[in-house]
Amino acid sequence: MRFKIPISISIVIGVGFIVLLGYFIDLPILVVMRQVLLQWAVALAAVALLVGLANLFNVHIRKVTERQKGAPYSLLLIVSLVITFGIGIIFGPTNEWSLWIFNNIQLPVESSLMGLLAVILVFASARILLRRVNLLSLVFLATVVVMLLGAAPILGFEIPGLHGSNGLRALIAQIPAVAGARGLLLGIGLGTIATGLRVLMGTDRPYGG
Amino acid sequence: MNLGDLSLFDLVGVLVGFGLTLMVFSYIFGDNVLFRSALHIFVGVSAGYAAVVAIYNIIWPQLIAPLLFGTQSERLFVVIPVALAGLLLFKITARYSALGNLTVAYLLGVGMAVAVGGAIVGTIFPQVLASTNLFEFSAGERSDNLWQFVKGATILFGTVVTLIYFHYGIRASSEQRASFRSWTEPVAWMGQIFIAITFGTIFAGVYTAALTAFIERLNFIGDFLLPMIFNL
Amino acid sequence: MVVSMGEVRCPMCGKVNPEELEVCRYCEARLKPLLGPIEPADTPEARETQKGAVTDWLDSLREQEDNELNDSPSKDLDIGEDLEEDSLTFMDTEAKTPEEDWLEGLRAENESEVEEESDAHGEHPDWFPDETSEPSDIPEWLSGIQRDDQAEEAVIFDDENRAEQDEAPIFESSIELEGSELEGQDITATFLPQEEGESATQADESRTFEDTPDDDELTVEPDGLNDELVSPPKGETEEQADHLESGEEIPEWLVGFVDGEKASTAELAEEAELEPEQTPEWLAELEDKAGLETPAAANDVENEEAEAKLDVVPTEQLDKEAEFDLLTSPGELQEEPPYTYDDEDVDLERGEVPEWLSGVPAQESEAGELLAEDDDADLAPADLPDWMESMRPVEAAAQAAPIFDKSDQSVESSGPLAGLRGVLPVEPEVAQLKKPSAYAIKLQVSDNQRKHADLFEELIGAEGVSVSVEPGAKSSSQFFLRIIIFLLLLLAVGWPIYTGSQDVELPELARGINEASQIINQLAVSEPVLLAIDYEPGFSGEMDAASAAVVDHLMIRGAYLAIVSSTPTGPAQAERLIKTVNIEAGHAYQAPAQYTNLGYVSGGQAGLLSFAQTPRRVTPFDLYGEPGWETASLENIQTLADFATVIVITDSPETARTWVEQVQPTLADTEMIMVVSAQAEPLVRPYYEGSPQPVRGLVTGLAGGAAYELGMPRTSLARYYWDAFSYGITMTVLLIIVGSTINSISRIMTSRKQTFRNKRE
Repeated sequence: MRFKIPISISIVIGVGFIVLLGYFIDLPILVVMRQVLLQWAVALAAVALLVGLANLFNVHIRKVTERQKGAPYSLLLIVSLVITFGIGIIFGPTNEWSLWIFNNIQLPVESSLMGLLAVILVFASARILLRRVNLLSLVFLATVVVMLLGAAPILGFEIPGLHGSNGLRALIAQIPAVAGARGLLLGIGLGTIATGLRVLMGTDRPYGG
Repeated sequence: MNLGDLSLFDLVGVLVGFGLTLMVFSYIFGDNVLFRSALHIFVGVSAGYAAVVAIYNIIWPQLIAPLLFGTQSERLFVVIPVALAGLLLFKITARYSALGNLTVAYLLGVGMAVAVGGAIVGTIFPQVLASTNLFEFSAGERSDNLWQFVKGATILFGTVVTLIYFHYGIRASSEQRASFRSWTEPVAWMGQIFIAITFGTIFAGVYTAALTAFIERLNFIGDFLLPMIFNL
Repeated sequence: MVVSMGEVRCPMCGKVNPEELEVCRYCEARLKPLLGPIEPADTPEARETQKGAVTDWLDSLREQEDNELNDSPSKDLDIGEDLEEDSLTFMDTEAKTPEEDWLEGLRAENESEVEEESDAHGEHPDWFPDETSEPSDIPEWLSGIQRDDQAEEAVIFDDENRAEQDEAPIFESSIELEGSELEGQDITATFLPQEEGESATQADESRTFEDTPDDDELTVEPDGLNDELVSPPKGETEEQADHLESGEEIPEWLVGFVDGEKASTAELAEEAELEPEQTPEWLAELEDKAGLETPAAANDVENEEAEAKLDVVPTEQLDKEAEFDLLTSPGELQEEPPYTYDDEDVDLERGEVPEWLSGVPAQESEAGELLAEDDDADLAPADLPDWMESMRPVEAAAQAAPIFDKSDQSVESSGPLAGLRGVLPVEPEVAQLKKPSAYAIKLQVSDNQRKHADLFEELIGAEGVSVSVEPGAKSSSQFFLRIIIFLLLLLAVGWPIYTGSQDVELPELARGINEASQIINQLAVSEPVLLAIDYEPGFSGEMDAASAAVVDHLMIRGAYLAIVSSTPTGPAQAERLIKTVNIEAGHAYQAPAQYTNLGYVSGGQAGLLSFAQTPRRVTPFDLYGEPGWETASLENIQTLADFATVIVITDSPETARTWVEQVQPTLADTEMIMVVSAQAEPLVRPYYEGSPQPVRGLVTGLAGGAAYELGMPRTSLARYYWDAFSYGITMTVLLIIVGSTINSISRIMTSRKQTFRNKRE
């Protein structure tokens, strides 16, 4: 059973242009409509999060029932999900049990993963020149070294010209890095505008239309 | 951290955290069961907690509570989003997932409009103005103005060449690599330099964040182990 | 016509074809006429009828010719209206009558012309009689005619062969004289070889030559022939007489003949008319071959016997006895007596051979071979008139040797053509019942195709099969290198932590940190501050250290904190941060007195925009389910612009950008401060640098937090981590430099070895 394509497109176009026009036109009726639409979107986004969670559950439950490769890990995931969800639904997200789970399971694992990243990044940065040696890779590596050196004192000593608000690190961070980042932001903005307008005009239909 | 001051509840929690930290750090020796188990537990816990927060903070107070306990106007207000939410739940099933296309279309329409409006109002205009306003000279010293001019010119130049590298004149087909037009090639090359510097800065920032997390974990382990070691 | 050795000219289109072809490759005309066996009717009645019929009209013709011989050379030969191509009819004559052969009379007339041609070509045509030949001699070709029961082929004369013959056979077919060169001429003088002084009507022998019925070009159409010979139609006769009387439209050679014809037409109509049962044998054969059913032929059909076959006359005899020259001028035609067949005594059915046939040796070889033995050099090439040449393309293109079709060896067993070989089937092939050819059901596949099909099948079969990839051999160097790096970092970071060192100098206050500090310093007590905590638990180590001083500063100022988050874990993170700062800084911030945790705002950008416009509607309750906007500090808050300041603590550049894009435009005069991770700083700084300035204060990572603590009366997490951070950074830089140097040298060495190896190769 499929919804007719024109309905979806008309919804996208209608809703999208009402919200978009609110950025530039200050009409009371438009403001009200925009607020209502945005409010509904917030609620529906939360429901979408639940749908994603349910899909995750289905995938791993299928792995367990079909005895696929990695089924024990999927079982572990399902058990932890069910327990966390159950405790949270029963006691609330701010309950000490929920917070205990968050503070003693989620946070340590995630922080540890981030700490492990430090070792991996050192290992990878040391091998950059082994894989590719060109001007760009040299510039990249040099920037990394300078920025790291300027992030903190070396063995407790600040190097003049490198550290400080007028040092090289600050200079790189304030001028060429800003220029490149600004170009990236503008590019991201332009791409967002192009992609968004394509969806709003119905050219792209990622919603299954 | 004094383990003796911790309740049993907290002590178990610390122990669990400590164990999970070691399980994750075991990846140094290669991929193993401990690391994978810790990872799957983390995914399950984070997904479950996120669902609880969504239900408690959004779905219940904004959709279900008004429908059940709200006034007439509040109920009328939430009828449409409740209906859309119900259709969206069909996305869980493969057979009737098409019923959720309507809600997805609604969310996409709102999301795209917000993204476009925010990009125009919040990024394009301010960033363009910021690039040009760098040449606003204050009534300060001339050397400051000169430095301001050089700084502004460099930032403007870097912005332009970065944009040229990403968005100008590149057409790649399946048969040939992407190539620049002749006159933009040296300019795009300079844009690559600015991008390399930016990415180097980002890489350094990521590493500092990771190193800080590493430090925090080691601090945690130290707080846990050292009292145990020295108190034995 | 043979153009050169190995090539043949098509009689229809005139184009050159290879000798071995039987059909022209341009117009698909037959190059080598098919000559079927000639099987004459062997019924005695048919023979007698033919005999009688031939005898009567020939006799009448002879008489007429004798009467008119002195006047003008004329021919009693009744020639029909149309000349069919290659319609050569030769009649076997019995022994010559005492009267001179009318053909010999023709020969005499043509002899002079032949001599002229021979002078021109340097040779006498074979078929034209020599001067030394005795007119009284029976032409060899006539006497040598034999019937060959096994003969399957017929002789095809080409112009060259005919020219070589001493005596040319008479072809009794109609010739259109109108407008031709021979108009008005004595046709007998043209066609019938005559000796000098002899009358063409004295020819006592004539010969009919039948072509195979399969050859359309050579097919004899006895319609006109039969009518002319047996019973000239009155109408035609009269027309012909009128036509002939004009004397202007007919060739000269036919004039005499026509004159004679006038007188004889009536007689012919009366006397020459033969009853169907009196059709001459040779004529009956022609009719049978043509498929016509004369009464005589019908009798033959009923008998279902093979027709009498005409023996193939040896070409040698033909050459000698030919008295016929198509190429000679009409004036040279001599009158020849019509052919008289009086071989009534011979009963062919009993195998008796006529006298005139007795002298002819049996010839079983192919006529084509006989013809091939002809000496083309004996005959002078004849110059055919255009109209003659166009009428007889087969002769012009036919090869010297006749070609006999041996494909069909079956003998027709029924019908009027019974006994003949090479007969076209009555029924079309499609109607003939025959066993359908068996075709193999199995697909015929070549070896190459089979190979390709097998390969394709393997590819498809392997599509869904996952190929197990053997894990590559783990590089032990990478394993140990990773462990070494970990241990070195552990040493660099762990030692300050273990020792609790705080000796490293904190960084100086940056402009962004200074501005943020100034904004917070301007806050009044209980002034509402929106605190957005949007970082993941994984960045909690850095972000807690970076934001702890800021939150401490806010708590010191007594600001009322309204905490919100756009990530699901944000509320929990917020609670943890507040608790940490409370512990570290000694504060006692509690909800809802000092802060309110408004919880999670879903929807990303849309949610933040909605929250910015209608925060009360989006987050009506706090994290504990209590109304979140009923406190004194928040009761007057309608929009985010009503907050004193907005502080965003985030690790993600995208979240920071979303806050800047969606929320900052609605803040009006409310200032926004950002506490970001070091990884987000490059993409957030553009919002801080320049004018307009959406972000008024910027605190970046652990260094920012540590720098912020410089202005605070107490230290916090950043100070704890700073020494470890410093030593860790140093070790990191050292590892990167050393590792890069070693790898660069290794790469250079490898490339040099490769270059040297390549040069050596």
